[in-house]
Amino acid sequence: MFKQKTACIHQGNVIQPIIWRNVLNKQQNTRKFTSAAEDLKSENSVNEQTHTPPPTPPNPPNPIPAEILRASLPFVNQYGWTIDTLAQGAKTLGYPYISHGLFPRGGAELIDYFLEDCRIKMTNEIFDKMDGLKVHQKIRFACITRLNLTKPYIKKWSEALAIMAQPNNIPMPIEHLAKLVDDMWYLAGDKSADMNWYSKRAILATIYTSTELYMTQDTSPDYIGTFQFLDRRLQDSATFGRLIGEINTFADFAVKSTFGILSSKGIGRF
Amino acid sequence: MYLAIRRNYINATIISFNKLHTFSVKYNSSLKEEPKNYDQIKNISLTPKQKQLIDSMIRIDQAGEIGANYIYKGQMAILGNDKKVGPIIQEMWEQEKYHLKTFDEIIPRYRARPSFLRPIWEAAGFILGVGTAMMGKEAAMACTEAVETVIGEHYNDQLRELLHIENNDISELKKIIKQFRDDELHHLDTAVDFDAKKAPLHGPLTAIIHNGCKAAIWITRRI
Repeated sequence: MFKQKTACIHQGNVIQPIIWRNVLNKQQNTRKFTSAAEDLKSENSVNEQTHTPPPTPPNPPNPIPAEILRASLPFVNQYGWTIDTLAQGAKTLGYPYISHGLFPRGGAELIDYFLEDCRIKMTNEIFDKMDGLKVHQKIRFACITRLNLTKPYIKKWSEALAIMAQPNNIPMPIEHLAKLVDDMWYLAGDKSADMNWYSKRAILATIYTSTELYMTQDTSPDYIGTFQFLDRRLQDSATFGRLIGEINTFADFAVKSTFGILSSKGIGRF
Repeated sequence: MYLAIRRNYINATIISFNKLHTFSVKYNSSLKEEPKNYDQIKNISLTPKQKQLIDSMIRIDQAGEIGANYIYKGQMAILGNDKKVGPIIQEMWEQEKYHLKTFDEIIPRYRARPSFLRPIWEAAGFILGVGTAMMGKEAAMACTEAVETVIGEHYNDQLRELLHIENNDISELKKIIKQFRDDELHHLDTAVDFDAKKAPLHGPLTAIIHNGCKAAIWITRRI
């Protein structure tokens, strides 16, 4: 029997699979009327085909996109976040070179996969190692774990940043960043349910992205400079948070004392 | 061997039901060999769609409780000295405080997003409370009546939706919403007992507040 293999042609935005068996069957049909004996044989074979249950294909009929993306990652340092990388990844799995047509957004889809993959890896790595740490230590630990996952690709990361900054790709990294920061705060045991929910996530997002940007230009051994940069940013945010808290307390005091003076003069009751 | 394949299959199906794994659904594939993720270990086994529904539900409920809290706060600022309705408003306010505290605890537990417009709901609630209280006791009670009608109805709708989802993770949420709905409807009865219907311009006033609350719910579902 013919091995069932498929390939894909990318036409505009539609991906159309070609099933090789159908193509070959068509060729067989054109050859069918050469002699009566062959005719009978082929009829028999057709009957056999209809009566036996269809065998399960040895390979999955469609190349699995996630598998190709995963196989592509080792080629990133060589080819960048490009279609070539995807093609190489498909090749290692034994799929045809043109399988990269499955990813109409090209390198952006590889980045999409990479960010999601890293986030899941980070949560799995740290969630059971958080006991006994303080909140800022937990956040620092999460950031370092996540940065370490980007480390192997850091030479090509500025290229990825450029791809993510393209107008049609912008929503993708923002969504990933929001999810990442949300996971970090969740794992750190954050219980805020008011505007702090937003401010904490916004501050952490700026810290994380700036540290990642620093890391792309970092030449210090073992990226010590990056982690020092991260510590400095975290410290800044802590002092900033304390300042906000102090301003709040002062404003509260000022408002309360104003109303107190007013009520002592007999105006209103607050 | 068979068991290993079976376990992989089960893992894959569970993973695809997770919020963290919307990606795998998007790419129509199973991410095999992936370790368990945090949600899975915590046994939160809702589909992404259900999670989204519960997320918006909790957000609306919390925003509603914030609004209610500030309405009572505003009313107490004006009518606090009143011997007749003062203690009643205080009592209802205490209950609303408890409701808000409960939802503040529920938000991190269900990983719901609080409303971004919280300061606006606070300000709007306070202004509404002060405004209606200045129109008189009856108007304040009419305001309570209108607000609690919408909130009670909305809790009821949510409960109806939650009953379709059979999952042990949300049984607690169902219980809380049921209790809070009864509380809110009790407030409604109290407001009617204290002459809410005798308020000046009762019809237009309640209609405006009613529709305002519904608009707020519509906005909070999204933001």
